[in-house]
Amino acid sequence: MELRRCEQWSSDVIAMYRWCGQVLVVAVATVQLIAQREDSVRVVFRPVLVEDSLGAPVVAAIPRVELPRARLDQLPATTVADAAQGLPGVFVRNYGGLGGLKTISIRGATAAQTAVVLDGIRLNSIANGLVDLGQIPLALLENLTIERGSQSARWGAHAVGGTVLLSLRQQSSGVIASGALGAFGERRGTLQATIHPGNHTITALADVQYSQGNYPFRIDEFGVRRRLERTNGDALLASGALLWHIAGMAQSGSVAVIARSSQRGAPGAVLQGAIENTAARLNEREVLTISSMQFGQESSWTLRAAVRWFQQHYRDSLARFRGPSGADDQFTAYDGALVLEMSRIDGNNWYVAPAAELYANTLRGNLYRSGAGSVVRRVQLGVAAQAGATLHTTTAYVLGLGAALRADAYSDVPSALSGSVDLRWISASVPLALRLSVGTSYRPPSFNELYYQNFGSTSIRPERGVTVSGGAVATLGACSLQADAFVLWVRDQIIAVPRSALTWSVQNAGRVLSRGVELLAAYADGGWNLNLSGTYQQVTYDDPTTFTYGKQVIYTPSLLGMVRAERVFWRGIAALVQATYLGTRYSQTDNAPSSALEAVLTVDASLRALLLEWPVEVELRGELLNLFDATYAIISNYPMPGRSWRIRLLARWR
Amino acid sequence: MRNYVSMLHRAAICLLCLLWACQSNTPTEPPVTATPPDSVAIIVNQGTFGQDNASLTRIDFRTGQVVQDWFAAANNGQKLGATANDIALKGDTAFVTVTTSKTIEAINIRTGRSVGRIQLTGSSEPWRITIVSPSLGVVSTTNGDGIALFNPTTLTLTATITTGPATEGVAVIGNYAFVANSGYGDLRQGEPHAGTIAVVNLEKKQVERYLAAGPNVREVVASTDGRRLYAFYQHLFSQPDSLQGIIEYDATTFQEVRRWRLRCGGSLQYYGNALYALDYDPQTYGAKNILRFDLSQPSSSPISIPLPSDVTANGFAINRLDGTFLLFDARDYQSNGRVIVLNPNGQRVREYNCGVAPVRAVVF
Repeated sequence: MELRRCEQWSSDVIAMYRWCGQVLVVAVATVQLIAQREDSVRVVFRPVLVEDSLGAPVVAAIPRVELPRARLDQLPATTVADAAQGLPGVFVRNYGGLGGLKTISIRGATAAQTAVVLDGIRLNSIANGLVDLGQIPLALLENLTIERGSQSARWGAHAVGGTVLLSLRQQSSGVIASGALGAFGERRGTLQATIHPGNHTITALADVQYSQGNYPFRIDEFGVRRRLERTNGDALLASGALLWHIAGMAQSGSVAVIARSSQRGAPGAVLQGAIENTAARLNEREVLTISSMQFGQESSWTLRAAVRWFQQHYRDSLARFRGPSGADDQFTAYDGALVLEMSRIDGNNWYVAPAAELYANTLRGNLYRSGAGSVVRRVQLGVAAQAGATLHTTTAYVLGLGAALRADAYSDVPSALSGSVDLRWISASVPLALRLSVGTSYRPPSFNELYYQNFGSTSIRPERGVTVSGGAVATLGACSLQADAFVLWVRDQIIAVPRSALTWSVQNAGRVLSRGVELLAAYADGGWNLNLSGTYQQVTYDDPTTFTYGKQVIYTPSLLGMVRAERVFWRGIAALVQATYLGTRYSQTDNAPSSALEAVLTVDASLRALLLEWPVEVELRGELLNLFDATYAIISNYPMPGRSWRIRLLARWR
Repeated sequence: MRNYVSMLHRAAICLLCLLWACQSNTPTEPPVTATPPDSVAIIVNQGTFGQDNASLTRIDFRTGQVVQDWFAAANNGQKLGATANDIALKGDTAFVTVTTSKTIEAINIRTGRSVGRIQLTGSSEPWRITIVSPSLGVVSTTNGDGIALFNPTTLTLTATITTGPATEGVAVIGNYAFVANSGYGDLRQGEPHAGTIAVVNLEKKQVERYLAAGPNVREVVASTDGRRLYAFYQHLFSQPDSLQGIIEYDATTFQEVRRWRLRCGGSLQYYGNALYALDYDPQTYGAKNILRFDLSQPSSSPISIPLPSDVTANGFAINRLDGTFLLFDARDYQSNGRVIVLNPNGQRVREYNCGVAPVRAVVF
């Protein structure tokens, strides 16, 4: 009997291995590229090239800004959304406070048209396509990169306007502890420790943020200006990560386990002196595991696997339209991803790099249409290849060509084919490079858009986008400059249309044309570090049969700008001043003057000092945010905080 | 001669200065019209949900003069509120329900000035409103699951009555208020009394019975003679192929008389022994026709009155002074809309700009 059981068990194991092998063979057979491969054209400029592009001293095929850990540490920012504010082409939609939703719009595209990728794994929610970047603490990250342009051929779904690339903390030995106090009951604490047993590196990290969020603001209440205090704005965000990395001779790998929990109020718009949703609470819990392994000869294969469990619970006892006891909505998402990348195959002046990916999503919720059931699923298989070639090389310049092609098949929505081509001309004699790229992109409908009760429609098609982008990169002494122009077309944009005052429905009714210029300049010398970025864009509705043709898309400012000056003084004292400009935007599609939200300039400042260098490095920092107490809202009727402060203390044991 | 001209110049300048000095410093007030009927419409613009941009538009059909955001213009910039949904008249006072702001704004229809406000509390958000008498008004309180009774003269709430989930339309015949318990389509359809019409005895202030209607019953209107009640029920959004329609009840026996099961939408109107409703496409959510039901015929099929193709109909009203339709074009619901005047055959006569998502109107 025992033997029979053993045989049965053995045959099960063999069958399982056989199945796994078959899956692997299928995956290998459908190899593709995901574009985190290296570029074939790598011309190293002097390190002063574009201060905010530190760490990327190459001419990228498409415009990108990279903020490495050292830079992130210097900014008066605590979340990804804070750090991205003011970068070229980037508009952070912020509903205010620590707990308020914060998403990124790149080149006028929507937040769901922005791919967010963490260590090669897309994070965009299957429920709504968004990533709340206010919920990702900077303490978790080693690097933040923002790419602009339609790059679904490289990053897959959602990369219509651009891509936010996040890298988890890498090994840095010792212990780092930091704490902060701030206005409106803000409290923060971070603890990070890294050990190196043998060729292993293990890092444990914990980050807790809390804010009462009860900041004051001014409103018009039935014709009378009044000062109110935000209520139900408290937020408690806790994150933890365990990162394990092993480096071997033939193979290496890493495993990251990230857990996150947030409990926060979800205050609504301020209407006639009343804050909506004063009883609404939003709780989230998430566990994300990302593992990566390089194997094969000279680590020629990289296999990434990710598993995510995400639960969201929204309660609002006053939302009586949902029933006598209000709203009590909960959904749980189970996501799995498998990404296989092959190192590039090099030829004479060319290369090709294939890759494949498999994503599986399951969402269990209580608000999906009766026809869809309480569980909805999606499986996506992507196959891609990236290629590059040096077309011409002389003593004066290098001409390089890159291309990528990708096919994605979905179980529940139409498939997508995406491609991109880029051309780079790099001078060998002067630090000047020119680039030109064309890319296509798509965004599949989210589960909410497909199945949500009284809202979704299963006839919705994916959104499609095309970007043409061209620019120049140059350095001159201590100055560096990036200037790019772009055109982005989006068709079949999914928009929500009211069917009554309370019920909305989605439609593929939008065509959007976005075009503009972006500038990024930097100067670093003699203790000075200056950055200037600006974006001028026209993001307009592009369907000539509609009355909104040519009108500015709602909540897309035409002008965005940021100036940052940092001066390092003696003995580790440094001061930073940052001014961020946000141009006029509209809340109505016809751009009625009454719907204009005024342009605003906010100024932040920080002063940091190294109090102690040995045996423990201790740094004290003071930050003043919105120094001149500007009154503004990024989203209509969601007021932003006025002047606020924060004091941070950071200690490092090396 | 030169002195004479100079004197004339000086005199003219003095006269101009005098005229300028005599000019009133008070802000320009909206025009005050003569006694009714003077063919003036007040349009209720819903605004966008959560944007605090509900408004009123005043249109003088005789002069063509349009005053946008009339309430703000007449009240020192004061906003009407968030999501207005209905309007009813009592004498020279209009009562406007502002749903999200939980207010019933009482406005002088000659000047646009606010004469008072009824502030509802809790979950009671005013939706449809009807004035029964100088001392009784009835408003459905959509998230309050009932109706509120108020005194339109003293502007005080007098009672609240629970009727069922998600009350929308309300009509009063005699001593009874008929209240549509929609259940918000799929959201609350499983709750008791969803999809019914509550019959409320206004004297006893209690529900006497429930009339079976259909899923998502949203609107009720009474015939002018008070003998008939008509209700519009909408399909469930999760089942766009399901039927919807209009039911006729005998208002005295509360019995269903007949039922039209067809594809039609809201904005139910009774006028001249006929019933009007928007023809509604559940796939595109657009309306292409106004349907006219001749109620004098025992089994009448509706006549379609085609609408202009460039319109997103958010409702319509009938100008009882001349029989024309005021079609409310919400465009994309996120822009200022239009009021398009159609003759009884559906031909466009003229149009006026208005606020975001026009939905109801009164003409006097």
